[in-house]
Amino acid sequence: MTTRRHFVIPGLIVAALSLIWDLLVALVLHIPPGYATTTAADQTVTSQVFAIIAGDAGMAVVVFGLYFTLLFGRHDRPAEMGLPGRAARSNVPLQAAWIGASVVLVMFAAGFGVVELEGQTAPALVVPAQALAAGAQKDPLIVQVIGQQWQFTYRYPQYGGFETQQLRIPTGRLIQFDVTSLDVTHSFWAYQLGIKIDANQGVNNVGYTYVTKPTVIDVRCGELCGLWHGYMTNVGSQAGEALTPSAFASWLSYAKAVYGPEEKNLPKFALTYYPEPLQYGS
Amino acid sequence: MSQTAIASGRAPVRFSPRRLFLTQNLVTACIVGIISGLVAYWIGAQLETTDFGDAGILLGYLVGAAGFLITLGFANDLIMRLRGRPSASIVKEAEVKGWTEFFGISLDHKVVGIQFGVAVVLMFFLAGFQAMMIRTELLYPNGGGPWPAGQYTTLVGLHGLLMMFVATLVIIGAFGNYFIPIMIGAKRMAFPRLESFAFWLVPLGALIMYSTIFAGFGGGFPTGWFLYAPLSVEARAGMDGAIVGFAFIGIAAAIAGINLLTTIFVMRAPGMSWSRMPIFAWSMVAVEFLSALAPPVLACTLMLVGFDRAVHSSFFEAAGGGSGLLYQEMFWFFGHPEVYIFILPAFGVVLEILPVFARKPLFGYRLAVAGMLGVSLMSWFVWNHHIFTSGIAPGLRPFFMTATELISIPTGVIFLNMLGTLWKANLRVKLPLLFALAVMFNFLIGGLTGVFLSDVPLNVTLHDSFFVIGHFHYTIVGGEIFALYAASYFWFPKLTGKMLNARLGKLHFWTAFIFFNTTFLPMFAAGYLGQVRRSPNYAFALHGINVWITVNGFLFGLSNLIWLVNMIYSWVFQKERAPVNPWEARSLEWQLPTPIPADNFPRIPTIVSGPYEYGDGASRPIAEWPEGGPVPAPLPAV
Amino acid sequence: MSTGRKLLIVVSSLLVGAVALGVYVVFWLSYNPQSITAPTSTNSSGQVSTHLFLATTGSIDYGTHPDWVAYLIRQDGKWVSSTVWQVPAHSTIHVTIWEYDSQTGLRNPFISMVRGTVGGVVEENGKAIKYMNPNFPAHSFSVPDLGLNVPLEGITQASYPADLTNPHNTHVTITFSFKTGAPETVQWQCFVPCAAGYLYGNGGPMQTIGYMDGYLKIV
Repeated sequence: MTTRRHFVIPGLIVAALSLIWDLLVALVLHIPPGYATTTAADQTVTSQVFAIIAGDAGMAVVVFGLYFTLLFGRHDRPAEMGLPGRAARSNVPLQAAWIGASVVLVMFAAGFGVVELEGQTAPALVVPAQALAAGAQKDPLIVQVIGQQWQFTYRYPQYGGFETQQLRIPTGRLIQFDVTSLDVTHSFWAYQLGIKIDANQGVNNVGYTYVTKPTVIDVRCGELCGLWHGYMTNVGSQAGEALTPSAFASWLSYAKAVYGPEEKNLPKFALTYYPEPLQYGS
Repeated sequence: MSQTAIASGRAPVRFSPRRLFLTQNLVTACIVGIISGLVAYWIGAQLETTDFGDAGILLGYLVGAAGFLITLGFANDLIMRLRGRPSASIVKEAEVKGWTEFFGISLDHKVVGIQFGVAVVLMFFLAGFQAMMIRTELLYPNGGGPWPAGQYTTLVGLHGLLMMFVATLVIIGAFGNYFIPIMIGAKRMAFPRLESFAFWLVPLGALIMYSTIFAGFGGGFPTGWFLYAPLSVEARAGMDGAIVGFAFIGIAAAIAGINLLTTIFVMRAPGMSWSRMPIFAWSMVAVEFLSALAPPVLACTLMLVGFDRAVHSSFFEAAGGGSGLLYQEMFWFFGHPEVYIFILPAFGVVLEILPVFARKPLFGYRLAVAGMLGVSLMSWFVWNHHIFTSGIAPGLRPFFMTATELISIPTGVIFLNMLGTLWKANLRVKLPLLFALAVMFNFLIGGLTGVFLSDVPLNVTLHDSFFVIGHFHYTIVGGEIFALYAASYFWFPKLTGKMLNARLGKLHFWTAFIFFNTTFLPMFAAGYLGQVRRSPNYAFALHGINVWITVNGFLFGLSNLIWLVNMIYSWVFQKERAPVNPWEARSLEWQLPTPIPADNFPRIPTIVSGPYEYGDGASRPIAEWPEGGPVPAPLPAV
Repeated sequence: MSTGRKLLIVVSSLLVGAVALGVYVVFWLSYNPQSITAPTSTNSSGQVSTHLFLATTGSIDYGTHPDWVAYLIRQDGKWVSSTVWQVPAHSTIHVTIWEYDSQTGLRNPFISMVRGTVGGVVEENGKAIKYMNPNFPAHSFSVPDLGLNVPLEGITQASYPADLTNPHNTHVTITFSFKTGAPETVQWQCFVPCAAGYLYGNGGPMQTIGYMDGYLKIV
């Protein structure tokens, strides 16, 4: 009975702390990147689920560890807590239970991740299932993201293939990012969209998202790419924007007027580019 | 010092210029190394393949290193054998030569252990100083700090690479080399010359890496410790030093791994069965499989980068038919086992310390062994989780996500061992125990945040952000470095014959534990809020959190100075000698006198019981010694 | 060994270590370049205007690394090797660039479009241009944070001087103006892969402050 008490007390503490933590995570804490797109919402929800699982499991280990340390570190420790017997070396049911519990937690986390991942990128579908469920049509807006030392530029092949520094995308439509690089490896991180896709030379990396509400888009480079890596950002006045469909249409006509004349200089739209000079400078 | 010298028969060394400049020693080795390196650089630079003559620089580093090592004496034995002469006897060479043996080739694993310990701790403080410089830059938002963009990136790279050296080798090199032969009842390591060779590659690699700051204009390298190609192919001349230095550390780790593995497999004392082996030795078995097999991949990869740089091959460059993704795959195939090379020895240290202070057997010994071997095995199947966003085949991602999360099962087992050992314990709350408990706490947070990163959709947001920085500092600093603290307080009396000062130790513990957490916990938030790693430029909104991290980081740095002061004070100034077995521990190293005789066991014992039979009144002694105890009495002049 | 002697050894080695660290920090700080303030002038109506008078050179003897392409700034009648320049906030900056280097061609032809200048044009040898053949630029002056991008046309092979060491040969004169906003420090760079001998033409001077990169301190 007295032995059981030393499991019940820390158990109750864990339960109380876990409840507070779970409510905090589920209801109070604002967890980025928010709900502006399907991918971002995925990440926010996953963060909450994982914060609850990891927080509760971690709290249990810490509370029990601390309780045991304080209890058995006392000089006037309870008399009935005498030296342990065989159970001190191993306790097969306990070990089996511990492994079983961790298997269950891990398989839940893995299954949760797999289901969510498949929802985002089901290979058989042109359009990811989650985006379809959110109302996306099967004609994605294609935005080509070109990383170069040190800026991102964007091409819109469905609208003549003009190139711009401004990232503008509409809400309510599936967006397909085709990401490539002209030199070293960059990473296109559109924070509010919940998108991070590496830009590799000679590789076309594809990612999808579906924007549900207008938002500013902070673009940064995630992968160390040389001297100005930290400055390879589109924030502040250069920030991207997700616009309503009508605002996007009027931006398109403005952009075509400004950047259209440049199109004749650009290479024909392609998934990857190997422009001259290939290497080792002039 | 003099007492020790007499006790172990160390002869005083007389200074003579002839001896200094005409024999094989550190001074002549440095001179020959530098001269041969410069000559090789001049020859290689005639090729003029690149702007800076990378072929010359690479050749210079390699030839200079070979000149240094050969002059130091690593080829002597080989040449003797080639000439058909008998090899110098190891026992004869193991005879102590006084303090000079710390500056040359020593075939005594205890000397090499101390060499490793001192060199790596010095490197730890140097790399820690870089961390302070990094945090100084981040006091200012939008890149307004004291170091311009390129210099900041170089600082980050130097900090990262040097800390990789430290984390790879600090516990394996210092405590593994020193205590493993003693713990298993062996007189020496299996390959004493290789052991010393592995050590000398470390300062050599660190110096070569550091020479990058003088190479070419502005020096330095822009890639961080990943050295991602093609950026590392494109970079200035400073890159070459980083490549060669890192490859040397990889080779050192592989050699140390093979050596320790062989020692544990074939040189155990009679009766030292697998189930009686200390858990620290088991952690070494688990880690050395990784250490022997993973770093060679790194060395080969870096060699290919060297070819790309020096002779314009294009292994990693798409326009020439190569692939930058190939580099990432090869690097992380090494890189993920590498992070378990960091943490498994920490598990070993913690599980070794807990039973001693809990005064009861290690709970679930077999499960702990299985857990560590399981981590070791599974760490080969998770490397792609570092490059989820890089454009790997989508079908691979669920596999690597699941494999990564599965690895938390054997890791979780270690926590059960810890909790089970605490249960019904008779705890003696001493400094090693405090640090071991801190390792548990810190690594718990590090491990649980790793689960966040293993989830692919979540990884998309958190990858390459400060969340990752927080995560791996919790595992490497909170786990391994705190285990290093624990090991230093635990084994210091055996290493030096002095106890570490407990009052300073308490101060060190509380400041380190508190400020470590206040430094790295906010990094998870910074990462969620979008702070990119390796960038001096962050948004104004993150200014407050970065100032907080910097201030606490400085305080954590200061607490490390307390540790340093404590070690120097206790080792050099403290008069009182430590008891032979201050913790009343059972494992073999504590049964020997301090200092340990040159050949460890003049009389090899027979092991008769396990090392963790604490608190059991009926338990037998750990070993049966030949008549007269472990060492023939009285102590002879060896 | 006596305690005093031990103390002496420990303290002196700590001192040596501290001095070494101090030298190390100073060594890093020495790479922090000094900024050059762009000269201002006031016209008759009291308007203050700022002038940046720059040159881009090929591989001639300027700077620590003589065979690198570089930006120079004119200060007190002399060309100075510096790429950190200070300009006033909320004002118009008039830039004149003498471009001495030969044509390289762009990796991304998008850079050949003039953006962010006053009027959206630059004057090249007195002729206003808005777009350029992407094979013509030798360098570019780009401040991504300000949306400013000016391609600098290289001199043609025909007019390329035989004597590379003399900068006072043929050059293209480029003038334009841009407006600064609130005080901040922004980065500027060249986008033309002009670093001969490096992969993608993007290493060396392209990644070194003092050559093809620098800061614009808007105060």
